[in-house]
Amino acid sequence: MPPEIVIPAIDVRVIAPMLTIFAWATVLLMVDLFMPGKDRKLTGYLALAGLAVTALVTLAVQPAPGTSRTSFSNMVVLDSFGTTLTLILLLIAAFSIAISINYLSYHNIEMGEYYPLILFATGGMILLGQSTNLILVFLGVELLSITLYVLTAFFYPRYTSEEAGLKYLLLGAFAAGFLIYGIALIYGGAGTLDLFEIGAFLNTSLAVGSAFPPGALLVLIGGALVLIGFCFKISLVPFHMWTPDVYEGSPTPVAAFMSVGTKGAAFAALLRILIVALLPFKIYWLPVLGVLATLTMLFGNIAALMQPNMKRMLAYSSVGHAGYITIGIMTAGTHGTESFLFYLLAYALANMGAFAVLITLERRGEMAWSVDDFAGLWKRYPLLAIAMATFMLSLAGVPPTAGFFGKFFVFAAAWEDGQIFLVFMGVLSSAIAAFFYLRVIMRMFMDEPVREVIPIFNRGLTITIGIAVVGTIVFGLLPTPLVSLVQNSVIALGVGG
Amino acid sequence: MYDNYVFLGLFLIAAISFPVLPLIVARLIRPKRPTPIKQSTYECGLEVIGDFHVQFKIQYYLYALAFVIFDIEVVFLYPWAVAYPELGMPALFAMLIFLAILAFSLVYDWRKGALEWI
Amino acid sequence: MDLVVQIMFGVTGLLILGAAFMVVSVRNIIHAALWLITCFFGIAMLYLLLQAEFLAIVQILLYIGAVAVLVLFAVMLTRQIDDPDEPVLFQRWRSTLLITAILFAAVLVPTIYNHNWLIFADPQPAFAGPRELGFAFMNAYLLPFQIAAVLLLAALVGAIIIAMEDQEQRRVRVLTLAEEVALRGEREPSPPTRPANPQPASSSSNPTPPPAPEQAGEGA
Repeated sequence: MPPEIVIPAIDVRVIAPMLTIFAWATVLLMVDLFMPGKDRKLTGYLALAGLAVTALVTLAVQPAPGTSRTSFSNMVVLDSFGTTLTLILLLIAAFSIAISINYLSYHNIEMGEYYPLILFATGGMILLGQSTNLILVFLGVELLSITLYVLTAFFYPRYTSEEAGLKYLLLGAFAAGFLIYGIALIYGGAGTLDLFEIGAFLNTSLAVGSAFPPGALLVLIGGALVLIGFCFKISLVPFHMWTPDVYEGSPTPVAAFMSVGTKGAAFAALLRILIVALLPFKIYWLPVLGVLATLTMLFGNIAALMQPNMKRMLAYSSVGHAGYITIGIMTAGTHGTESFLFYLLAYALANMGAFAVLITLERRGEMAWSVDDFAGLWKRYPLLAIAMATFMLSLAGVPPTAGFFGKFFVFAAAWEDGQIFLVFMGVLSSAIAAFFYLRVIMRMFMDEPVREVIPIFNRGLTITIGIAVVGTIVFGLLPTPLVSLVQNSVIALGVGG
Repeated sequence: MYDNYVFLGLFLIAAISFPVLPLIVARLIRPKRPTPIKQSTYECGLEVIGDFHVQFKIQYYLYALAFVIFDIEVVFLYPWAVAYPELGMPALFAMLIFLAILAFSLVYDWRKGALEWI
Repeated sequence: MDLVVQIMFGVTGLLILGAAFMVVSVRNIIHAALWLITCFFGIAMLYLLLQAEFLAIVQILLYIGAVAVLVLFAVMLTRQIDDPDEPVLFQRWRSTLLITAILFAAVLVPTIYNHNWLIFADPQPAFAGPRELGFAFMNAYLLPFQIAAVLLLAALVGAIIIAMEDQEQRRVRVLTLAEEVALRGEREPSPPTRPANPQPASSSSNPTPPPAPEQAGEGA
């Protein structure tokens, strides 16, 4: 019997953001190819323009809160959760490019392809935030991973960059294996890859029999494997081993991009899978995520405590923050995605800012990002020291910074869900984390300089640090507009509506 | 259902026996008197120079990379071509977009000099 | 006819298993690559036995045609093909075996438990031939289809960047590990102005590396 030929109705608005960014990236790649001369800064500025255009397109197609549009056989959904996440991701990408433009030429690794690759990765992240089909989730993960393997190894003269790229590639391929195996098992059990249909399948099959139906069992095992695949991407303990080495070896802007962007997008996709498809299994995944979050918060922060290397310290700190975001995910079923989104934005601002400050202090041909370089910064560059102190306070979760409200919302939602142990562990690990964040501040303000470090400033770095400081403080003092934005960002739980 | 494969199997057997059979026959009827000269590696009638593990040029690898990408493209094209008579114009546009994206990668290859032979 | 198919299946399965075992147990990696091709070929035969002709062709075209060529070229780019000192099996093969066995059981056990073994289904007409795949690509899976093209583009660009690096004139030559260690050793007698970072043992970072970009010059 030949299948019926149905040309699906294509709603271009649903894929407008990623369409824009992919088209821009492809054209930019070609423009860069035929651009004369060796200076690639123009490519970077064009990439920034592309991100701005994508942001405008996203704002233009933004659906009203609570409504959603689907297209391409319900494979992608455009809901306000997706668009808010897209805007955050675009901001992260814009920061990353802004801090890269001079970094690349300064360190002698300037190549025009860098910027289209960042755009491709961002497109993959947007796709992850919007897809409601496991095939697209896999494609999104691969798109952002493959570009990041290359970007990680971009610091060609550095031996550690190659090591980082290879390490990330091997572990990423391993994680992709888990992911695709899990997806195959889910398909085998549920007979569909659509998240909504998987959820419906589980609801009906679990409602009927008293025994555990075999199809649902396959979905459960597959879901566990998918979770493991994502745990690698978001570096939850014990799947975090690659994180410090990869962050340290990769170019600093790429490390910044990875630490926030990849995590945000992968968390968003995981959130959608857990809430839309695997909600009937909440009794299974909730405790697992709780254990992972606890381990991640404790281990990430304790490991960061012992790091004299700033870049590795930030890597471990990003592992720790993944634990807090995990709590945000766990409460998303009952409290919506607001704490997740708020935390992500606060963390993005502070972390991108901290990496930007690190770049100003990074010297050509060196691979040491010692905490010592921050000693006495206050006496020589007071503004830079204040900016760094703001980021450290926000990452530590001290009021009046955005980081405080991020942690506050996450813990409040978990408290209301009765996850009291988790809140306790979160507060405890935050107290541990405060030690190493405050240590950096102490060294900046109290100590004498250990060696002469001359920061490099340029427009991109200055603007990034400026926006990050202003954002961190403004959202720390006046969180209301942001709260209303994230409260209106509702994840679509069904088709249409 | 498998009737069509009988011929395939016959072809397979014929293809395998074509090189294997002469070797077996030769082994059975040939005289065997090895000398060191006879057993040395034969390389275009010359003395063997160096190790056989020569390092390849990266250029071969770049070719192979491009080949993989366009091989995958062929795999996508084939089902499309089979279904095309029933799909009509929209499918043509969809495939043109697909091919255009991949054509960019060809342009990239060419412009970067990955297709140059050295 | 049925018996012939069963025998063919058994032979193919043994071929795949044997070839896969040879891949992981031979010392010479060119031989391992050739055994891998044998394994791919066996899988193509398996697809044919399942009447998935298109998949079989794809398997031969992509895996034997392209991936195997890539693997062989990659092997030929490496310097050391045969290392007699290297142990044949990875040291922790027992735990690896355990993990893979568990994963394999994860898919097999529910299937066996679920499957209705008593029914011998009549051979069904091919469910997904190229025609049906073509329809799927153009209808339900249109978006993944196009994004796959984007993925291929990004992957090729990335691969070229990584592989072309030593042809880029602007880029400086990367120091090999030996060179880097040697340079670091030279610097050791004159200690840097500040104490070297006490790194944890697991860390692979180098506290005071040579200033790589200034080093190299025309060596590329």
